[in-house]
Amino acid sequence: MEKINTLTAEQEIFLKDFYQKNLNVGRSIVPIDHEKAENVITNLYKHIGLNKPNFHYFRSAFELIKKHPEVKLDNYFGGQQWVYWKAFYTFCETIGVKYEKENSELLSLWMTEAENLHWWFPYENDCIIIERPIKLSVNEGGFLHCENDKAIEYSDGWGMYYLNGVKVNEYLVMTPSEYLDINVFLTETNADVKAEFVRKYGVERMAHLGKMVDSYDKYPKKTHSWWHKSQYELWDLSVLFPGLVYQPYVKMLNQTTGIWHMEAVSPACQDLQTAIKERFGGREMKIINIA
Amino acid sequence: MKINKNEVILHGECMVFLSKLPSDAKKMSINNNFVIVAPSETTGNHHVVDVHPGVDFFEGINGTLYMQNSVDTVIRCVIESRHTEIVLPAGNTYEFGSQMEYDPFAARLQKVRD
Repeated sequence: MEKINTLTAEQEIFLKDFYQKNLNVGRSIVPIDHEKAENVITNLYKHIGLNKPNFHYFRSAFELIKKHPEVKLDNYFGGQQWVYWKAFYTFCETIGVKYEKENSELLSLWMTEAENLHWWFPYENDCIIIERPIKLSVNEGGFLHCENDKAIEYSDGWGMYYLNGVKVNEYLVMTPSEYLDINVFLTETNADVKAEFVRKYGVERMAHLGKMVDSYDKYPKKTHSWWHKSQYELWDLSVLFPGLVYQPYVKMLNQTTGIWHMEAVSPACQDLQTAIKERFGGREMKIINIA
Repeated sequence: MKINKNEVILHGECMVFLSKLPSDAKKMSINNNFVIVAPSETTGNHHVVDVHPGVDFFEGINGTLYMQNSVDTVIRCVIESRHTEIVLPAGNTYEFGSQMEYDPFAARLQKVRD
């Protein structure tokens, strides 16, 4: 078989439609058609020589765990959420890649599985099916995101909060920016969650709780070009820490996302030079690229 | 892009810089087409380096990762939205590390986590 290196114009157009169709499958919140779901699973069971199982439905994985804590959840299929690999191989077949007849039929079965199921947990005589979420919200980049509610929610009320693809807690999403407690930022340990806090709280508002100690613009652009691009600044936020006379934070701009980060350095850092050196584990190094 | 001694590439919290391969570092057997050089504890958006023929990874006795590459490769994130990829030029021995941050409550330095 000859390798396909380019797509025709028609195939390019088809690919866009095919991609969108399967993205919609992955994000579908249309309730599961139980008859279709049971048919496809029964066929998959038959494929490995097992009989049709007994089906049990739950509104969410959380409901399943709550009602049956004894059930082991490490053996499951993702249905629509794993459509990516099924779509990949199906697209290849569509543009002319030949599979063995048995494999082609099995792939078709898995595509049907993706189109008709969310998560499901197979056992020898039983099969647990989780209903689809009732809500799924994404940002322009396609990442789970909702600024005033859960980004993904199931019909029993269980769900998760996300901001720009970062899993966060309910507090960060549901609390209006003006009421956010800075102590939540101070005690958060995850860099991405902290960045989302800064984005919502407002970096200028946050920095100006304290006072600026050092800034990138005091250093030559020629020798510190990435300090300038990242707009490194050192801010004393000791006002947030009763009992501390000096607590510096480095303020910096993420070069990919354009969002701000504020990360603490030790009180030994009196300027950006020592702060950056400390962040590098005590190494004196020149930055030549950042992403 | 050329990289010299005492220069660093930052990919999120991950640091990449030139190094020497310690004599006790062991060559890693790689089964994937990438190696996680800075794991993401919570989001799964690990920083990874693509592995091709000519890209070899080694692990020091303290767990530090080193890479020798006779061909260009890239450091990227599993999900590229947070950090775009950066080329790591061929012909070098690289060391991977994590930037540090300070925990004002515990008064100690720790690796930046995401």
